[in-house]
Amino acid sequence: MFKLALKQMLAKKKQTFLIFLGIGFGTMIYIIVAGLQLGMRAYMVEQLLNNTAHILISGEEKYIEKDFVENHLYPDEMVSWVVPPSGKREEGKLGNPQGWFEVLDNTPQVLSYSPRLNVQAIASNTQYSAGISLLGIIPQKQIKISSLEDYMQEGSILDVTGGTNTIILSHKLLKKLGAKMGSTINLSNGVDAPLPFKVVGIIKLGNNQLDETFALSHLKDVQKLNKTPGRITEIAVALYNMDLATPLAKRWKLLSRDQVQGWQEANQNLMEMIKIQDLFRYIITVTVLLVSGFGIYNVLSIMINQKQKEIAILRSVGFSKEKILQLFLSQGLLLGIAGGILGNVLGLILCKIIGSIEFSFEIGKSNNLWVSYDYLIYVTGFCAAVCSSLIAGVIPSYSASKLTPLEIIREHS
Amino acid sequence: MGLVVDHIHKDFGKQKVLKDINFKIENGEYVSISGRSGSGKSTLLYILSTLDIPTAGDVFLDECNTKKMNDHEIDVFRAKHIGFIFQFHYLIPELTTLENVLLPATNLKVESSKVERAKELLNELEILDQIHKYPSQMSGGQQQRVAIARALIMEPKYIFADEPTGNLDTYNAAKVMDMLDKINRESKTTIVLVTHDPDFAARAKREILLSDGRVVN
Ligand SMILES: Nc1ncnc2c1ncn2[C@@H]1O[C@H](COP(=O)(O)OP(=O)(O)OP(=O)(O)O)[C@@H](O)[C@H]1O
Ligand SMILES: [Mg+2]
Repeated sequence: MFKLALKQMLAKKKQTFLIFLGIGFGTMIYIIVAGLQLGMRAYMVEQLLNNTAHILISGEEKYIEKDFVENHLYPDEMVSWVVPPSGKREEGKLGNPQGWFEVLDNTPQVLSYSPRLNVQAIASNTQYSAGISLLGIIPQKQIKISSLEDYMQEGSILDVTGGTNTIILSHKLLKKLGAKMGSTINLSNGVDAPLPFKVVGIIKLGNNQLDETFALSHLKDVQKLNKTPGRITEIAVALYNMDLATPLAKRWKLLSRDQVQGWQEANQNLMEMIKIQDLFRYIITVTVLLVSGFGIYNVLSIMINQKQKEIAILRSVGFSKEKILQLFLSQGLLLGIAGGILGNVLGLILCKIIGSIEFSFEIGKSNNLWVSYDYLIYVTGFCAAVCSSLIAGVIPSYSASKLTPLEIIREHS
Repeated sequence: MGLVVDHIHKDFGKQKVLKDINFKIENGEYVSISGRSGSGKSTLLYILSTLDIPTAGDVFLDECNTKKMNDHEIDVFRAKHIGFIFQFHYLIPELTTLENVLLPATNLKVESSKVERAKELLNELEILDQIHKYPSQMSGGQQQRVAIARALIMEPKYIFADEPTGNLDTYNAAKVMDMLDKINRESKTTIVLVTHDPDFAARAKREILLSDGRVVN
């Protein structure tokens, strides 16, 4: 039976080959699109997670409220303001960092966490001064939750140690200040006298704005500079499984008034974009299915029409309806399998080629596009090819199996 | 046992093609059905051979009522017990002579045990040298003989032939008739032959003459 199916297909070499190519091509396109898209997504998520933690716990920002002021200053009076009081009351800070450390230490899903203090400061070197965004970290903890270390041009994150007033500058900021490795710059919190900091590293994040303002130092030294010992503005948390960020964040939100945000929530625009990309990929998948399915349907319909006589012979020598169905379905299946394999191979080759093209700009540490080789892409592509072939083969095959030998024999005699 | 035809009628719409046909064919008999064109010969043969069912009346093959057999039973019966030979040699163009002859055996998954018999049959039919050719590479007469070999491969109890010589020259027609004689003689196969050639009809042990949908002899 199988042999006959093969032979029938070989007898129609051109048709068979064309439809084989069609399925292969469709599958290939799917694999390339999916590979590029998922690669792009992996790139975006990685970029994102460099700057955002899986979960970020940060202090609630407090604003001055009219009612609060009225109640405190003028408890029993009617007040009307010419200009009502407004503005930020204080920097966002964690009310009870120690409590958070306990929670985090006791949550098994947490891989590691890094407490940080984020302050604005003024850096100056001889003549020039610039506003900087200074992040105080504990280097040993920070390197566990992000790949910041990979972005170091010179020195290491571990070179900033507590109590030594050491600092890492982003490369453009370094240039602006006219500083270099080893030089000393002055940092001021804007109120008190400046403190000297020694440059021990240069970092390049690849983001223009950040590269002009970003600086890293040890948490303790930043707390000292800011005159806020023990203060922490945020805790960046890394999880073993980043997909758990949203539910965990939701749970932790209930524990205090601090803000707890999973990376997905913090980047809703990006997540929306990813959803649109997914939709796009589904549309392509369906299109590929339809096109190859329609091709198979056509070829099989034509073939079955030409083969009525033979179907009659097979039925008259005792082949059952089911076997006729099998005969033609197996041809669709064979085409689907062969086309699926072809598509996977071509897709893989093209993905490799695309992935090896050197671009003139940098895409996350290299000059190549990120391409995903997730095995699921290949499995999906293959299954789609096979399924669409089968489904498309069912209708013509079924109508073939219903032909009775008599109708055809009478017609031809 | 044998083939029993019991009060058969066959209508196509208003046209009554077969009218109250009754006869019995014993196992091993060689019967011809003859009559003028349009008299209903083919229609009767199709009904006898499970390809069609009568409008009224019953056909019993080996005491089984063909009307009451289900699809599966009919498939099996055809595969094991019936050989068809038609005026047009219906061969599968993608299969070689040998593969075509073995087709019923392939269906019953007994292909390998029938290869020898296939070769013997082809030898007897003088087309052994065509064994690996495709139908399109053979003459009409050769193709018809391949079809005959296919009908005989499973050693069926019944052979139904509808004008098997209609497309052949005198020499080849005679050969086919000789072959049918021989099968009937040697393996006690029941043969029902439809023909409008009086000479060939006469070669059968019994002749059923149809006229206007009735048996007239
Ligand atoms: N499927 C059908 N629908 C309608 N009429 C039919 C059908 N099959 C056969 N007939 C009619 O039945 C009559 C007998 O046809 P049948 O084919 O049995 O004749 P026949 O004896 O075999 O003739 P021939 O010698 O020409 O082959 C014809 O008048 C034909 O038109
Ligand atoms: Mg006829």
